[in-house]
Amino acid sequence: MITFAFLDWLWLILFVALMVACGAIFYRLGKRSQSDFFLAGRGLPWWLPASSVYATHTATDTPIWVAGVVYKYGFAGLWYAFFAAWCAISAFVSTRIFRRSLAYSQAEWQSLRFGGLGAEMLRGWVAGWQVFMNMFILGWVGIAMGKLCSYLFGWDLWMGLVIFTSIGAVYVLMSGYWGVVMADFQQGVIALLVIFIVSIWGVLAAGGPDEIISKLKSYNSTCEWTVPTTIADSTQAKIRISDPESDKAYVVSTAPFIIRTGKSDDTAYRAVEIKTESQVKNSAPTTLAILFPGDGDVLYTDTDYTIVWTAGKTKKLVNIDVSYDNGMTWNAIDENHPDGQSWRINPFSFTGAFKGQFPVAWFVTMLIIALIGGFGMGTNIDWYSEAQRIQSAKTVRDASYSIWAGTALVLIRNSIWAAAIIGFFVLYPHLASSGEYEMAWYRVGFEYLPIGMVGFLFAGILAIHLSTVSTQLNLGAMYATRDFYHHYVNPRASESRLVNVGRISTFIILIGSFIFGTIIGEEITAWLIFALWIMAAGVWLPNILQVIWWRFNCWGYLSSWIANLGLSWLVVWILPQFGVIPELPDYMQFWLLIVLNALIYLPITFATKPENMDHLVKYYVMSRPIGFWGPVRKEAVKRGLI
Amino acid sequence: MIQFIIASTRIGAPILGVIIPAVIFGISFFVTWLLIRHFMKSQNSD
Repeated sequence: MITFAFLDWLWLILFVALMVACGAIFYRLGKRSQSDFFLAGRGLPWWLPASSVYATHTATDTPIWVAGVVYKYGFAGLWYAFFAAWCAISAFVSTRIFRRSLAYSQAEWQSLRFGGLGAEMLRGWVAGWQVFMNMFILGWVGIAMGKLCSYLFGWDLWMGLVIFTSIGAVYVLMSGYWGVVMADFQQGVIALLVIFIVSIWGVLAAGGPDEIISKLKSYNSTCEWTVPTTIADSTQAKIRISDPESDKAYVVSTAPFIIRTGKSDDTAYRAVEIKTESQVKNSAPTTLAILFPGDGDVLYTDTDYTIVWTAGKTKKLVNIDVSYDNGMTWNAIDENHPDGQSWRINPFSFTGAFKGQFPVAWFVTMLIIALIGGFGMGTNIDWYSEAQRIQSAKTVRDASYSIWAGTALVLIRNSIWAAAIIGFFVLYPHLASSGEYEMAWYRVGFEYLPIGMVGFLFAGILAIHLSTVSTQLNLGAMYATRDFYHHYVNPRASESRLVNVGRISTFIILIGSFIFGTIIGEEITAWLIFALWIMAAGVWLPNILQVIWWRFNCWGYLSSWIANLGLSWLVVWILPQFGVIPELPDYMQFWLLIVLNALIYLPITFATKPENMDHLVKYYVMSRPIGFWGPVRKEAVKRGLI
Repeated sequence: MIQFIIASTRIGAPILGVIIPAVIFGISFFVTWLLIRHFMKSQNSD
């Protein structure tokens, strides 16, 4: 646990007061109208929504999962976060189309793009989904804050979740989006500076860039292994390192180690950590040997360990196998695993076309998702909050610049974090449990910064947290107010009533987020990857088609959403559980979901009528989409509208 | 199984704990003041 000195408390209180005041002071502007409460009157210069894009996408959980992937995969792990690059193309394609439409939300845009009963159903569906997703996102960033407070102060998880999300709710309830975007600008400045400073400290703590590179070259090889729960008590096991091409063993454990059922206690586990730390850092053995686990070691099932072997004595890539029958049969722990540790500073340290932790196929999939996704709307979960920023910009050009610049900052930020996390790896190269190394960036800050800066760091973390929760609270409330209440319940509601409904919705979403946060618990990374990757996978292509192809109709789109909800759970969890399909790597799940979903929505699209031409022409003239819009464009020209 | 060992050695002089947060607080305060002045003025002139 961390103990705060007087100076730490002073900085923390001053920064929190400044952040909340910055949001709350715009109370008078926020309450004027629905447009002010949700879009700041659509009059913002590009740099304000840009800073909001950056600040919103820097959440408390972001350093946790960036640390997780960079610690595990080295700089190549940064590609996990590269999906944000969809804005590089979106800024000049879908952003401009969306801003021209003047829709408040993605759900409203869809009622402009599509028409009739299907569009109404779609609007209700997307709005409902977004209210749910905002509670969900708030829950997961909130519980990340809870986890951090548990680490820092020993609090129960729910305390950090409830206290600090509620602070953000104060100025959202008062000023709406005006408060969100103004506080985001200030919080973005604070957060960026804090990230820079902590990362510099992380690199210095590891001895500087040259020292980091030198140590990585000298460290022994490692591979994470969670001992399977299916192994019987007191089983004797051996490890081997083998050549992936010939399957010939380079080296086999000289003596078996023991596997016990149940969980290791903390003292025993810490002893293993101390041992493996020394073995990774000490490159003394000159011949190839398996250093851990070895003779006399006792490993427990369902526990994470780091296998250690001498580096630099094999080919670049090796297989790591385990045998439970004295070497008669071998089971793969990892395939095409890089030898040594130098690979960690190479962002292109591929482990083959399809095998290993960083296959080319995964990388190509990520590039396609990131870059081609920019032609669509909603290809990434971040789109929905960006859409609000796009509409709050005062011109189409401001909207483009804001999305491009905000995302560029996000990608730069990831690289700054990664440097500190590689430094952390050099200090602690033996951590096998993701729960430990995911806290890398926070640990660097709290363990190495001078007194006084610890409170300041926590203030920076609060800036990161508040900017995200304030956005999600206001965004969820916008869908509830604009797309439900105003559209379905009371279309003639006055502006002041709509603002009040916005505030009530904000409060309900806040309470909902506490419930979701409690459900999510500590499994942050697993939920994140599932939500970011898989739940978006099946609708990735429909989200592009709706923008670029006139013939794609609301029934096709709606069916793709509904099908994806079922298919994503089937492909990821249920079918592998029953042995119908093997557990696929995430990029394979993505492509499988693309194909399976297309088999449902494409026939439905062609079996149903195209959208009404009058409706399409109206949308086309207003939004000027690119892509396959020939028949609609021809009709618009014929009518003299363009 | 999460175990954190707090390092005994902090890097940098303690005075940095005053100077760096103070500079960043100053920047943040100034930025906030500029924002409020700019938007309150422009809204009043509307």
